[in-house]
Amino acid sequence: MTVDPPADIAERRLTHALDEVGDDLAELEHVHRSLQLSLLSKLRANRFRTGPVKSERPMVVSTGRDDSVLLAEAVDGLATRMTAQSSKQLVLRTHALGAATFAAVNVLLAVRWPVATAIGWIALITVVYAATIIDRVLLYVRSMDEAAVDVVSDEDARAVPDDELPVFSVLVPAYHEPEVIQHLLRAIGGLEYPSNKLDVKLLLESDDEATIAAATAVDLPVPVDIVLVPAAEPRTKPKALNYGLQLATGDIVTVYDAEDVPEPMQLRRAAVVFSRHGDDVACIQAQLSFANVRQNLLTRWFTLEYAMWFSLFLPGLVASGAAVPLGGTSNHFRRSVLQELAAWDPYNVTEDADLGVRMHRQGYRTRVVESVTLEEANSDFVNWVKQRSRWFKGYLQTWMVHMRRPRQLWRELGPKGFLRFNLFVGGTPVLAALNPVFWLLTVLWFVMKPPILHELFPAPVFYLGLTCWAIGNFTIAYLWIVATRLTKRSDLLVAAILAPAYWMMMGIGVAKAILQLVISPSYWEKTTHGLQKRTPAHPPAVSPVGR
Amino acid sequence: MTATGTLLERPRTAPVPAPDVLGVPGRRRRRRTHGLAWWFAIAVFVYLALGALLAFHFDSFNGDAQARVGNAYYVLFSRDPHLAAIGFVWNPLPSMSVLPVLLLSKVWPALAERAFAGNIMSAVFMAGTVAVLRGLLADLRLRRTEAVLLSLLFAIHPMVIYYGANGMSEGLFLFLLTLATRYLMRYLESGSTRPLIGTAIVLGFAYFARNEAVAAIACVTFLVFAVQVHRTRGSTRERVRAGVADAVIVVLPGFFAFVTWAVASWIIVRHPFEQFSSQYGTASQLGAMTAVGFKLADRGLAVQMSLLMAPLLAVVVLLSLRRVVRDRDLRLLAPIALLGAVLAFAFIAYLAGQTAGWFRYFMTAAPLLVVLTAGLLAPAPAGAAGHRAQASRARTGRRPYALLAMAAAVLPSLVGEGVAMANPGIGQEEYLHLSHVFRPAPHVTTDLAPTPRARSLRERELHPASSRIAGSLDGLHLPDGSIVTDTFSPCVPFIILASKHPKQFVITNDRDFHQVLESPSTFGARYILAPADGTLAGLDAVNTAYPTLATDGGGVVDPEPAKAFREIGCPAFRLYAVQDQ
Repeated sequence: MTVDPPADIAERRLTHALDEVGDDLAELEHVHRSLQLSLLSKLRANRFRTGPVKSERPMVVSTGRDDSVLLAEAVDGLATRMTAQSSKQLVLRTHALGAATFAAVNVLLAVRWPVATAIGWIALITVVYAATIIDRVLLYVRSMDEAAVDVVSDEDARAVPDDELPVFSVLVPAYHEPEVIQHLLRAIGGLEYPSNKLDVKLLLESDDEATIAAATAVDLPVPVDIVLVPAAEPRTKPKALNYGLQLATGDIVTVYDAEDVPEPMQLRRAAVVFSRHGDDVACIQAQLSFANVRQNLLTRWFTLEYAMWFSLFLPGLVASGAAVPLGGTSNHFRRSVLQELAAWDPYNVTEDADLGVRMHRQGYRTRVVESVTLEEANSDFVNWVKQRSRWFKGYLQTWMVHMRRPRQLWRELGPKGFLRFNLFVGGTPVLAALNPVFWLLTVLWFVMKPPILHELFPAPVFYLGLTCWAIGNFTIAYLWIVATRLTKRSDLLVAAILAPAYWMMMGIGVAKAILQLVISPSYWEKTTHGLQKRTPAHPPAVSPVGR
Repeated sequence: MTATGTLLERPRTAPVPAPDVLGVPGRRRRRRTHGLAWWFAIAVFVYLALGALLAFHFDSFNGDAQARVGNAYYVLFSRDPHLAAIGFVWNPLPSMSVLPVLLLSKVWPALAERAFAGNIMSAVFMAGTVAVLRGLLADLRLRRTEAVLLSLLFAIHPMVIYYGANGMSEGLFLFLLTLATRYLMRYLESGSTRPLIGTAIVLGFAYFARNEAVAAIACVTFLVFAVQVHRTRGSTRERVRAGVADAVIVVLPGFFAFVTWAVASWIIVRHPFEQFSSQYGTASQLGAMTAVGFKLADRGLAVQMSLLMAPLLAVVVLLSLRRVVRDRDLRLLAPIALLGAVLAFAFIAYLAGQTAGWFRYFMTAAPLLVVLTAGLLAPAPAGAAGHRAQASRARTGRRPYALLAMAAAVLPSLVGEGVAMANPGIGQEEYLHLSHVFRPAPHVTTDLAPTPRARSLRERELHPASSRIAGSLDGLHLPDGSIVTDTFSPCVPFIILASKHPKQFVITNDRDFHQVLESPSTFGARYILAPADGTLAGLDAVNTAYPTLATDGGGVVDPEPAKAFREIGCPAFRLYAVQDQ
């Protein structure tokens, strides 16, 4: 019998191949086992030293540390370590004295030379107004730079092997929000990030039983720790964050609000952006938008305002190397930097904006990543005014804190940065308040032509003021309309055209904030104590005087 | 730290530039300037040198140019310096752009005295037009030699040279129009926001330069809407929405300019459209011009003017439209909608009897022809469809025929313009101001027959005559606010510009002019200066207020003039002494 040679060869080849496959399989199993081991070890390492083994349900973790020490650091860490940067005591005695003297001098001047003093002030305001508008336009132009926003493609974001990704500690403060807990935790669960690289901490007040109950009742694909923040004043979001930060283990610390829906790839993108830049980039801000755009005109305005803020002005600030006032959520920090800077100021109502400025002063930079987190827009007018006045007040707070030592600020930010800080953080609330006044004066002028106005606005001031008023209002209105195109929201065109009404509303918000500051300076403390409901985010308004 | 974030410890890679969603792709990576600065510098030098020859050697001045410099001068140096003195008869940008130059007139008086600030303005902006055009041709990705040849052909148009040199506002207007065209072409190619805003803002400025910009703004708005609807994908609703958004963006600055100017005019002179309807506005001037035999609404003349300005324009426009349809190359719609609209407006407005038939009104034909010629010879844009477009992209080799085609398309314009400018029936203004330059003659001392040639020779005497009048008035050593006069009358701007003591005049631009004119003695005015006759003398505010000035003194002056100026080149001015009431 003759052996069919081809069959023989085929058989031998097959045997050989099978052997090889067997080898490969063995090797694979080995790899698989070691990978599993390393995953497990990492998983364990990620958890709290004293934390229990994770189950599917979020668990209240014991911190294993003295709560009062943690609390003391959370409340007074900044105030004790960097007193000059804390707004715990907003007005220092020397400054109060200075301000009183300044006010007295002005009153004297106003009594002695009322018209001249008024002209001086009007001229000054007009110049600041003009400078602010020019600054806004410059930022707008800069925002169109390619490098203003970091864009990470899906492929690039997914290309990083899981074991090279940094660990993210996601801090989610919530207070009296049982209804959004489930929703939020799902959104966190929807994040496309290896769960062993996630250290999610839900920060709840220890006396907020409803929320605690709601949080422990949900099933999750991602392990979540519930951290109970001891009930203590001030009951603010930054305090809770400071508390949670001390327990965070990740390289990167992320802040989300309870009702946030972050884009699933956001953490991966943020990780890639960090890897693209130097160690000086300490924070990455994602873009915020709203889920309930079409609810009413107010939510449309708000959406457009956010689109401008996060797609145009913040990138413009980044591109021009200026301090970036952060938005209250969806920012990703290097934990080491947060700790170095004593993190958030629990006494500042826009602690995010303040932190952005403090980081910049220490030489750290912020980038904006193209990735959107959806929030819920404030759809109620009264609520909106409250929220807005809080933001403006926070801006004034931030401005006062950083201007305590103007020369030092000048040194740290440089002349351009110093000017921009003043225009952006200090000028914005003031000018948002003045814009309606200018509108009023203009209407008054046309309708009644009172001679006093003629006296108050001598020719140069009049021309500059009129030009500023006309060009300024047009420019900002135009920016709003262009923003619908730049942010691909042409559905909001009508809202953009109606924006001047929104600015009037802003004037109400800021007037409230300033009144509180002027009439009763001590009101600050009360606000802080009385802050029953934490604000979800503090990215400020786009006012007609620009933003 | 327990976890390892190896990604963060990796060596940094260079930041990846974000895709340019806002500008033309790749534009910023390879920023080439195409020697624009050189084009600009050389063109400024040439136009300014010629301008200096006109102003200092030939005494060739265009009345509108000196009036615009005058308006800027009154803002700074009149008895009542205020911005509104810039006047509302003309749109303000030409005078505004002269303001900073005039600040130096105390150092170099000729800037005002010979209105040379105007020549600087026109040279700078016409040179700017040349540079913008050169950049536009580079955007079209023409070969370098071709772009250079075409830019050069534009720069040496007789009309371009003359209006670059003579201090008129044509340079400024063409500069803005070509710049807007360049932005609009980028927008049509890339659909991005930045060039759209650029188009919009430049068009807004264009309205501040000249009324004709309205035609361009309207046409461009419609074009942008149509194109955006055409190229947006999605439901009809979404497409219309996108179209409306872009249309709103492109129209708003122009609309704002229009409203602002109307409101400013209304506040200050109580009439929103002073430039059209005032005593000095177009309507009145046309009336006066008809009276002295100008041809208005003459169809033959309109055709002649447009044909001579760019003889082959119609052919090139038709070929361009064919290319737009065939290759879907939308870029060529930009010059047609923008420059073409202004040209069409000039044509129609003249035929409707709404504007004077000045040859220069047809000047947008020159850049239009050049840009379209370039567009026809340029490779199709990356996105263009059709096999012909691909073939045209493939044809990137040498092609000497292109240079020939360019010369063939543009050279007839140069000849045509030359012919028109030498013909007093067509290039009326150009002949008036250039005839005595190219065919000098001895100074005229006696009045000549009313031929175009004689008018040109008289025109040369305008500046010396005005200076003599100014000197004579200065010799009276009058205090501020002594002489009431209307700056609209010929020679008056030059009299004030040349006077050592401009504050002695109470002029139309002053806020109290009408008060003073009504009762000169009350306000300390001592004289009234008014023309006794002349082309546009009937429009003079003084003569309008007191039609019987020369016969009975209108009750305010002594009808026997204190001085009568019989200077050739200026109207017969009379200086009437104000009677004490």
